[in-house]
Amino acid sequence: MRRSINATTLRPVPGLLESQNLERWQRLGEIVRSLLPQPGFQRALSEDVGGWSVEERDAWLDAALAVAPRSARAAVAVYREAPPALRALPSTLRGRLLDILRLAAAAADPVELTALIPVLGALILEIPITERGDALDLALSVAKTYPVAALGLVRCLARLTEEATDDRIRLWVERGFELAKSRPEAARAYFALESRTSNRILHSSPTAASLEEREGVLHRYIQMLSGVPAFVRPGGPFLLRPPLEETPAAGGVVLPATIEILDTWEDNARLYRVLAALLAGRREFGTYAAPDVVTHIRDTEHPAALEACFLLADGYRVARRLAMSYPGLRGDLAWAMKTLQASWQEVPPSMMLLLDMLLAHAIAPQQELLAPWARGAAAVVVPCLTPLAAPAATASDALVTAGLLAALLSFPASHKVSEASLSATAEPSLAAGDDGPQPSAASAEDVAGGDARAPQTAEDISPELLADLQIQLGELAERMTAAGRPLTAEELMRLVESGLISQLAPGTEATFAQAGLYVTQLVGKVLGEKPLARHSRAASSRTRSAELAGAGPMFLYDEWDHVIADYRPSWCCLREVDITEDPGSFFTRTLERYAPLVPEIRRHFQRVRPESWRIVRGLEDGDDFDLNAAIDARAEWRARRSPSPKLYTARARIEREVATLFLLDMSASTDEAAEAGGARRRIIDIEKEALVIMAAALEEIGDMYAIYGFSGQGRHSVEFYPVKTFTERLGAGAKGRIGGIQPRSSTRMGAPLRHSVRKMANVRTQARYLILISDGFPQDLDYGEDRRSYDYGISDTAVALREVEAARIKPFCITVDLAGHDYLRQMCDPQRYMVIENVGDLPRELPKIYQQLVRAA
Amino acid sequence: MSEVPYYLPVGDEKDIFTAAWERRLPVLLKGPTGCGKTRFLEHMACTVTRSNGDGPSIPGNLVTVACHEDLTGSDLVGRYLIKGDETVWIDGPLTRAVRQGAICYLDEIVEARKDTVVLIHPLTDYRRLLPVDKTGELLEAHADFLLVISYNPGYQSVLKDLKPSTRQRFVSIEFDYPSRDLEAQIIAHESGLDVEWALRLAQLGEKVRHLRPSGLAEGVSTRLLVYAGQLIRQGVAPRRACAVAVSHSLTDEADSQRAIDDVAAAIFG
Repeated sequence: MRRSINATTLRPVPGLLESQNLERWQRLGEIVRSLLPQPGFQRALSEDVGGWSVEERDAWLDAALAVAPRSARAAVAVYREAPPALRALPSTLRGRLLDILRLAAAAADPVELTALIPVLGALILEIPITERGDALDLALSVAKTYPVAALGLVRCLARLTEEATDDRIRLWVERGFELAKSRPEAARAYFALESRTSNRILHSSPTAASLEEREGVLHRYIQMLSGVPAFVRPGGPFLLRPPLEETPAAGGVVLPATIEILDTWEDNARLYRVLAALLAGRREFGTYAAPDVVTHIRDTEHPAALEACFLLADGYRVARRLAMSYPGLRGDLAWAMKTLQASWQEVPPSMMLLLDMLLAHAIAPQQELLAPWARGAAAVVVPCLTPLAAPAATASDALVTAGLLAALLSFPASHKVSEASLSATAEPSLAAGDDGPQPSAASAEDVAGGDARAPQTAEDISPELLADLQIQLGELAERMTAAGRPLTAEELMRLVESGLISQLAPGTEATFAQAGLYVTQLVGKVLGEKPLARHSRAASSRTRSAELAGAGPMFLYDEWDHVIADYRPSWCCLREVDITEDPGSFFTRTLERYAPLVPEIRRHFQRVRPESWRIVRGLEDGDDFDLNAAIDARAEWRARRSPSPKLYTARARIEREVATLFLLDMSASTDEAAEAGGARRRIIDIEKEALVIMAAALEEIGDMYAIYGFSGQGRHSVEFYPVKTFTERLGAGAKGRIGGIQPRSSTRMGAPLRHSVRKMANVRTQARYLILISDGFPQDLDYGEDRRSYDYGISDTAVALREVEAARIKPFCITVDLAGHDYLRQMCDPQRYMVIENVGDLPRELPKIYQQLVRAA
Repeated sequence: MSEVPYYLPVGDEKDIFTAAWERRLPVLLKGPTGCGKTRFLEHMACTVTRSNGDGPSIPGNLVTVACHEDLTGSDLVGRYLIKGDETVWIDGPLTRAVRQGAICYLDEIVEARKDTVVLIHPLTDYRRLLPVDKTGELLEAHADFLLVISYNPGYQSVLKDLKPSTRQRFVSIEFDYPSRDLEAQIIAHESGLDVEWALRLAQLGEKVRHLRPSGLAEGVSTRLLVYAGQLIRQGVAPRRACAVAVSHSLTDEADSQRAIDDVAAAIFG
């Protein structure tokens, strides 16, 4: 029964809602009353909507009403959280975004919608200010045709504008519409940039260099320069000062998916090399050597400001070390810095651009390329950076300099800024910290002009002003005093002009006996006041770093989505995780348990016909004469000696060129007990026994083999466990790791299969096999969007198995799941799998399967 | 050998070999390809003092055999050959060394068949005997005979590996590529390059060896770097010399080649 709205209920409402919105509002209230009954529903009405137009309120309420029948929770999220989320947007943008929301809500996944609403405004603000309108028009056009794809597109609008030009984006949208006509279900993934096709179309350009085509070269390049194993993953736009890595020990290096800044492919590819060298240089020259550096930056009051300045200071230090150590890179660095400075001439000023420009200018000074609005800052900042060119300069020294720069480059409160720059919320200012928009799109005058009260000439700097300044000497300043030099009065004047010098706190006891202030002794207030305290957040960050550092390298793999009939690029993150070894007791006990079986298996193996032919000489019988032996025999006969009877050769398959990778499912289900040999034993233990027997037999006949396990939980956490590599002997370590195998989590098969192909890439035998041992079908918590269906996992595994075959590796699946036929026949040919009905037979059957596999080839 | 071959010590290998020589203990030289094992032995053969007090380098005091899978016992010990109407016994290189008191160097011993390798067992223990079945001799080794073998550990299959009964007859000296400074000296000496260029080549070698965990199992050998240096000395552009002597020789994988070429460009410009 519809509740009547009496005057009391309506009292706060007039003024916020027009009458034509009221009917919608009341209807919404009815639908969500179980979650948000009156008066809570009324109180949740945000005052922000008071400033909206009627049409905007209609769109907002329609969005909530559209999703309400499917999810009251999502409707409440739209109702309650959308207005404050959009507060920072001007009305010209807000209206379009609300239209998009209204169109998308009916088709959107309620969970996705609920998660997106609070960040909706922030997503738009990430887009460069001049491109926001066009971006929203684009999203609106998609929302009108494919509303299901709208939210995904909104989420990646900023990325689109970073990675592609307008023309390319238009082309990408057109191709998306074409694709969606034939496969509407693929539209959502396409417009969210979650399909390989979508990414390829976006990034294909005659001049764009893409990471995908360069990844193999770049990760080796970084590894060679830095001496540390590295893997490359795509992320973010091209940045001259890339952010610090959270877990450098894990070896991951983030590079942009494409670079299309310059006019030719060659130049863009060269920029990749320069960026890779800078990132390798961080590792080689100790940016991450002192773990406290990164932690300290994040712990300070203004981490963004300090990190931005640290990236400038340390970036300069690393660049100078690179130029010193690699004469060839000198040219590349100089070229890159000059080219980038030239390309920035027309870009509006901003703090981030200023810092990039200062770095480029410091590395390759070219006064005519330096924007006029940056010259004042350059005159002050570059001398601060100069000491970091010394070979002995460290990341800690760069941190000291960063603290100084963070103080020097802050915007004083006395600066006047225009209303336009206040509303232009491009980037936060360094001094104000991370919260709230700040006037950063300042004009040249704002940066260099300074306080109206500032002295106009050097003589205007009074002794009293100098006496008021306090210098806090940092303990690290001693390292840099050798390169220090005093500030002249003119330089002080420039500091005061820009208002920068007012940021230094007044002193209490310090007096100055000398006229000048040593640049290298200026340590900003930022560092002086913040002790190197350990916070729990930092501790947990370090723990996570340590965990990930101990886990080994990480790899990104695409995954096949049968719904969109395309790969989802870089969808799964796989880590190699060490296994805790046992003392070798499991291995020993297994050999004892199967003592009669192992010799029998060895004998069978030795009868297996090997893979390739070779000439065997010195035989007593064979296909042909061994001419050398025959001549020797003749000579011995002439010498009245008994000649050797070994005069023949034969073509025999003696040499074995076989390599096999055993891939073991270590999912939690293997912890279940099964009937084996009259007792109930864990499936994992029976599988381990099978591996022990296999290993013992293979050691005897000399076939190459490796053993790996896999499990994980979710696509972001696929785990791959090295047990024995191809180049490793079956020693105490490998035996201990076999014993240490334990059940883990889920069964996401695709990424481990793809990683196994990588493991076998350098195995150059004629025959290569991959034997997958599992106890069930592929299953994981986020395996596809329909959690009730196993089709996604099965189809991805099927595609992965085909990729294994395409790599000229023969796969074979063994399962102890009695229902295995049901899904294995979808994943591979009948000749490529076997179901072991009695799990206890696996130790005996696995060698036979291997034998047949190798013989049949 | 009239001139002592150049060898720059990296560790205590010269002292160890000299001590082993003094006791005539068989020596096993282990290390990756092109790291100086053979050169080391040539150098030591010219510097050790013989039992009669003779100093360095007498002709033929180092007998080298490159082992392969078709190497038979006859190839090592000797065979009867027909010369005209006569049948003459010709000593193999091992027998020659045993008789004359030379150092016999079996290079890449694991390539030889196991039934061939076991021939050396009596020479490598206290007996120091070589049975020559075909002549009925039981040769006692000359006082100055020494057996040296070499192999590259790297990856060896079960079938191509030294049996424990063979391994445990030798004193082992392990070799690896030298540090940058030492390698630069070697490159400078062998190629005639000046030290600055030699240092750059050594730097390249150091960087390329960082790829060992990623498939280039042995990295680049000192030998290849010397070749590159010699090409540069002949006027070949440094990057081109590195391409033909290093990246294209090391690998056929395009990405690895390009990455090595990029590092060479970073070093040489």
